[in-house]
Amino acid sequence: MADREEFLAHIRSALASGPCIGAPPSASPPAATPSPPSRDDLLAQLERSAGLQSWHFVRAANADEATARVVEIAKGHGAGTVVRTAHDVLQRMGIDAALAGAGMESVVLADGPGGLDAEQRQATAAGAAVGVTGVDAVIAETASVALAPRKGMSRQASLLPPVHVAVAMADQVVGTLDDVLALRLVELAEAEEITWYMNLVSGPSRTADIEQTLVVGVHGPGVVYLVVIEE
Amino acid sequence: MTDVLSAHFKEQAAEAIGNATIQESLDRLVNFRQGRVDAIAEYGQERWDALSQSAREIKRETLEHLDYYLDELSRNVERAGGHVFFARDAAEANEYVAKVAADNGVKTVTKSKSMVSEEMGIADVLESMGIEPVETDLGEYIIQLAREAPYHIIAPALHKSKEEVSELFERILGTPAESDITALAGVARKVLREKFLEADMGMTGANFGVSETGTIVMVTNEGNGRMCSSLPRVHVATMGMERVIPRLRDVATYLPLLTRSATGQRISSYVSFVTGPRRSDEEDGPQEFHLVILDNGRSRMLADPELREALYCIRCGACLNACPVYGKVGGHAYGWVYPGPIGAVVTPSLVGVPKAKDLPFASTLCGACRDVCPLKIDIPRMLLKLRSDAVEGPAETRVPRRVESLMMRAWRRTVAGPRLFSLAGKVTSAAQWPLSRRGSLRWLPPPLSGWTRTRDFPRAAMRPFRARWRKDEGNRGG
Ligand code: SF4
Repeated sequence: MADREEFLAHIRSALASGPCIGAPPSASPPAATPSPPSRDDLLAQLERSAGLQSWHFVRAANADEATARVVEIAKGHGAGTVVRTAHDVLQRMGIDAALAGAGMESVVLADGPGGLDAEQRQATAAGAAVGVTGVDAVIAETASVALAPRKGMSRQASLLPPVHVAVAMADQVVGTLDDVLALRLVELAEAEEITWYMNLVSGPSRTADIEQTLVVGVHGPGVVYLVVIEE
Repeated sequence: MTDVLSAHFKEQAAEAIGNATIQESLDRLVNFRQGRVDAIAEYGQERWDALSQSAREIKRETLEHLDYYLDELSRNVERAGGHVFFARDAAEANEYVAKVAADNGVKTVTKSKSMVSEEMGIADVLESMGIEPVETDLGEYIIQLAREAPYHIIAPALHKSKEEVSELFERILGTPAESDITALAGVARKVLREKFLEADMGMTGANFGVSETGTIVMVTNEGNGRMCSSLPRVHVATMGMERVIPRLRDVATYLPLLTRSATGQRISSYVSFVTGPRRSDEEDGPQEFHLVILDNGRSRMLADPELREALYCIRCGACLNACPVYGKVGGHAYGWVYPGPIGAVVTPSLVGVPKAKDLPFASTLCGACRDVCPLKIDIPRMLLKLRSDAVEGPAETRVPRRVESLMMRAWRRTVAGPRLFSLAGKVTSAAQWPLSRRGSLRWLPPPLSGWTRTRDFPRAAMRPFRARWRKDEGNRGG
């Protein structure tokens, strides 16, 4: 068994043989970052890229409209049970009452008084037709939704059901992956706990492993909606 | 470690060349090639080149101080509550993973596609312990059922027709014959979903290890990587030691290079950032996280100034798709985990030239691999170096001339087929031929100068592709 010091010492001795043969690094400065686009530009870019990434893209003028659309989507997929995260935006939308009003059960995948235990949460998520989550950020360039699980934000709501509905506020849309990573670093600098997990979700689960033919929904959700509330 | 069968290159290549199903599946590589070309055009060539250049610089810097970055990475993973194991070789890595599995009373391991775990051969080790290892990437699952090695680093079951997949499922899973690809994927989804829910350990690879934050980044499309890193109690990630990158924001440099080169995607469906096990306040996620960092011959490449650049590789597979030889002989001919041009460099480098002495010759040195590589790795130069090692090395490592002539035959068939011919033309326009750019092959090292003298092929590369071939047609027989 190699310990760290021994392993690293071995690397140091390997490096002692001298530098790599290959083209020298160029002295050119990194490409300039363009000035930040306006909110409207970002949304327009997001709408385009969302289509390319096979999201169903929904613009909602306000929370009420978003709620109505989410209920419609869940109903359209014949959902009996909808699992969701505890994101603020979903609370504000009054999603539970709206789903209940349409005859669907809404289950928050979170620990807490009267909540489900871990095993029940997993079973419920695996059995649900639709999972609804908020988001931490949306990347306009690639239509990627950033989800960082934490208290109240289960990893499973966006993973196990065959349909995922992500609800974002327009001011959560950023331009590029680099923007999201830069934000993450700022948050980390202030965080007490440096342990974290994050997923960028950029459309449905895909495979082309048989005869290079595209199939969606092989493990993760095959149908995904991105709802952006513009107010 | 997974057995090295690279000494059988000739037989395996000949078999692939004579197999119509395999030739048909290799024809489909055109999708990857076209996807890549379109994705780069969309991104903008100038922007792409700048990204490529930064990626090279970061790799160069990182490898020059690899000890520092690996130290930082491992300490940050530990600060985040994870465990790190440094493995000098596959056996040590396997032993550690086996111990983690045994300590946790693991019965089922779900695995997400990882070339390093293929290199280790961990599945066999787990199986010998009575633990069920389940590959969960659809392509990997298919080849696991078929008990074969991956055919391509991005598309492991590239060589299987849907009929073969159906027959395999029928025979092993007992499902009815099925000719619809979506339905076949559905069969796998159903079987594997159960495995995900019952697994007690998940194994994944790591496309990048960010030293600044102790974060492992996984790039996947199916969602199995998320399953493996979220549902089981224990998550074990394995990574080659060269996969470390210094800063979190460097991911924004490498990710577009990887996904656009590999499949032509702007981004893959999922990119997962794993920093330690579940958070203290999280609802779900693994209780334990282990990172295994593997050397297994990489330090030898690091120590060799001529081979170090091969450690820049981000395993996008573009060089396989562009290679006229891979496009004809397929993945299994290369006899180990890494096929294609990069495999022809990495395999002899990692397992030793004597065990893979044919591989450096499994190339026409046309330069297509270097031209498409997002890291601009000079694969032809390294193949020449390895050729000279093979020829100059001890007698038992020398290459019989037959291999060369077999390669030439494969190449001739490639350019002889009108369809493949035009495809090859797309990826290797005359202007891209490094040989013609350099004007001649005078730069071949002395042991190979005989080779250049007796072949009209490389010299002919100075003429346009089509014209050259037409002429050589007439000269055949030599
Ligand atoms: S050598 Fe270059 S093209 Fe080939 S897999 Fe590695 S990064 Fe991709």
